[in-house]
Amino acid sequence: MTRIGVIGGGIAGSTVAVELAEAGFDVTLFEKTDEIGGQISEFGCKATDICTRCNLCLVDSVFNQLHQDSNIEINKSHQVIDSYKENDRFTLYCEEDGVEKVYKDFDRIILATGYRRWSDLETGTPEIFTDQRIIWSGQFEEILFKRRDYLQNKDLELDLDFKPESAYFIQCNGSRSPQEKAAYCSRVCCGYNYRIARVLRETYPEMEIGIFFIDMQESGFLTDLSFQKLIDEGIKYFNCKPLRINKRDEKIEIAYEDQEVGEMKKVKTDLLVLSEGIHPGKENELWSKLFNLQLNSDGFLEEINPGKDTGVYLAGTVSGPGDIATTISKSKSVANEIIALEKEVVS
Amino acid sequence: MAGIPEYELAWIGDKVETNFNDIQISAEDLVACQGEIGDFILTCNDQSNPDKIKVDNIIINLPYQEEAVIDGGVSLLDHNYNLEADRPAIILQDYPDLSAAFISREGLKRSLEIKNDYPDKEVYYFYQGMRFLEDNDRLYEEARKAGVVFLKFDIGQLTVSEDLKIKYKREDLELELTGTMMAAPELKATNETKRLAKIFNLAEGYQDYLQLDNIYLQPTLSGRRGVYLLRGSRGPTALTYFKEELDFTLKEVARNLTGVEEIDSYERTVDDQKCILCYTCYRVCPHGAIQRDAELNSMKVMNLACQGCNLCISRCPTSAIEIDYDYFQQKDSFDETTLIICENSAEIAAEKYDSMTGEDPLSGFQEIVVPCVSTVERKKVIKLLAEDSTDIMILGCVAEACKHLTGHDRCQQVVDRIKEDLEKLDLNQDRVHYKRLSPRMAKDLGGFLADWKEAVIQ
Repeated sequence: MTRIGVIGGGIAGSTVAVELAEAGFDVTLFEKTDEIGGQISEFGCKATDICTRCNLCLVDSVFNQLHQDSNIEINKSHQVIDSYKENDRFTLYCEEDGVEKVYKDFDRIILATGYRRWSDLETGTPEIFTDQRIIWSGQFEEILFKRRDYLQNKDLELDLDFKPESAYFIQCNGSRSPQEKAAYCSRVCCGYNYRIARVLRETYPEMEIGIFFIDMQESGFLTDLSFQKLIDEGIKYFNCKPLRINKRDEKIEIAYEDQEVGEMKKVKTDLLVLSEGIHPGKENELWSKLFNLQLNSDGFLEEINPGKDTGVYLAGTVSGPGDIATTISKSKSVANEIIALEKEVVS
Repeated sequence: MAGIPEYELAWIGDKVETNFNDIQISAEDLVACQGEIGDFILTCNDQSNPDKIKVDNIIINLPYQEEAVIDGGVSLLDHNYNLEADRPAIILQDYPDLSAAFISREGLKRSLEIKNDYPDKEVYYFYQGMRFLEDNDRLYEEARKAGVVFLKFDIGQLTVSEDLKIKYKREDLELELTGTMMAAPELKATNETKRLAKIFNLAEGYQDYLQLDNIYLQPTLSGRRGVYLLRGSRGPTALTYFKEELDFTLKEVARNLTGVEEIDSYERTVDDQKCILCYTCYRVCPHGAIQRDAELNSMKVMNLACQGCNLCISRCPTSAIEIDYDYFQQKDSFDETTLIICENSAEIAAEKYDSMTGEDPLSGFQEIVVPCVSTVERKKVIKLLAEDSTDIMILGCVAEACKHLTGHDRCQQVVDRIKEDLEKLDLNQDRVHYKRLSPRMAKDLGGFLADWKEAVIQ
């Protein structure tokens, strides 16, 4: 029986594992933390009075299936540290609580170790950002996650001691900036912050909301945003990246260049929501060495030879930024590829 | 049937080179489609193809219909263009609204092409937002270096007059330009999509496209198994990720060719004595899984195409469709409150709550798990109410969680009808409760049911 090793227990790894196990493969999943689910398990529903199609809904059935499937062996707290290939079979060396463990005879390896948020990088967070009025979109997920069922109780529990009257969003934080070593577009933030803005609009109908864009990007398969939609929602937009953020009294002051007039302007806001760029995972460099993969200029992994020759496949955001639908679709296609290939070999 | 040519894959519309044994059929020539995944029979009205073809999978890959936004301008997607001598070239995208990322790439390529062929030509590039994908970044940088003038405009800052004069007004800059205008066209669905929706029995999406917003997660899936939608059949943004979408689809096709399995083990049969061929089941099936059986002269449920929602069973006016499983048989106690829950939302949420906290939120309730709440028959609910003294809670889905396209809306209708019935019978409507859930709401479900249990007991 074909043995598959999946590294990473987020949505990408879980999708591949479930699809392959359903097709009858013997799957072993390695997750470095003590819980399956990865970053997506902290995300919250972004529906307003209607569904905003963030695609979170169909994620949990994947994790439930993962736990129920007897073809899947789940190894939590297993950090893969080394790999060895002999006769087209992989041996994985893992570390569990400082103890080294060896898992042998994998025919194929799937890397699904995901991404890092900008705020998780080791470069440290500028001091200005440690303010309760400045919210990372990652933190916003926690707020949304805590939110009670929106059908019964729509209250958004912002962890604040005042009622915010205005909120501004800044896009392209930690992406599309060569200084951050992330010249690429993270592909998710535009659609993402638009959804958050709509949640805020619904919770606080009177609130002043604005978004600073470099450009508006298409984010994911199912969203099509436009400036007109923002106008319709009563959301202001600025076609520039702010120059400076200052704390002034009770408010946060954002200085920006108004390109229409060509001069410096300032807005004051109660809340500042920062989008978070998707950055390559910490282990990508290790994987590129262990499995002979190309590390592209942005730090994401690329296959040098196709997976059917090397036995190593990439699933999810390990190979580049993407939203939930993209990640799941990519992972499914990896599983489909393996199934088609293996069954061909058998027949 | 003997003598019918067999193919692994049929392209309706444009063809992409693949390793499959495939055939291209133009959308106009296709007349009918019968059968299910792995065994589609296509009927064509075409001289070059035989009139019946057996295929395993179908990809609908239609072009877009381009609609010029400015009369008299050249389309940006038109590769045959003539530049007027001594006048600048003007590329206009995002007019009147944002164009797709694909257009940005075409525009950037075009501007570079012009600069390459005629280095002295002035090239103006008007845009609202530059969309990035793949190597757009690099193209943009090159275009800037080559001397293309990029001018960003906001809504209202740019107008195009009838004589193709561009007026661009910013506080520090006012421009009036004429030249060879190359404007990004608006992309629309072709006229064939409506006909194809009928032929394949697919739900129509927005703006005449075939794709409904909530067709699962993978964007190229149609409601019908084995039928995939690409490009112009799917929506205006399908071009952005076209390469990826094509990749998913072809890999799934390859997988399908290794064999497909039925969605569940229950048998759904149509009684040919009861069936009156009213085509109700055919119309309501969200997955195109019903067709007419010519031999028996009745409808039949195709097992591989069926996604198990049982909508046909609940809607059949003569009760001709039967399933060898009774969801309501699960009930064995009459003291507990009954929950009718959808397997696509509440059940998943309950399982999640169970794995999160270790306690089953549904314990203490009598649960009836159905594939789609919209298929629950009113008589069964009313029978339950008659037999019990307790309440009934119906837990349906939010839009996105629904796997049967419009089940979430129909679910609401069913509940409304039950309440209407109760009102007519002068019975207490308050015994029927209804909530919509997403599978994400594990904690909400647990907390809510705990609260409700307390309230009901009191």
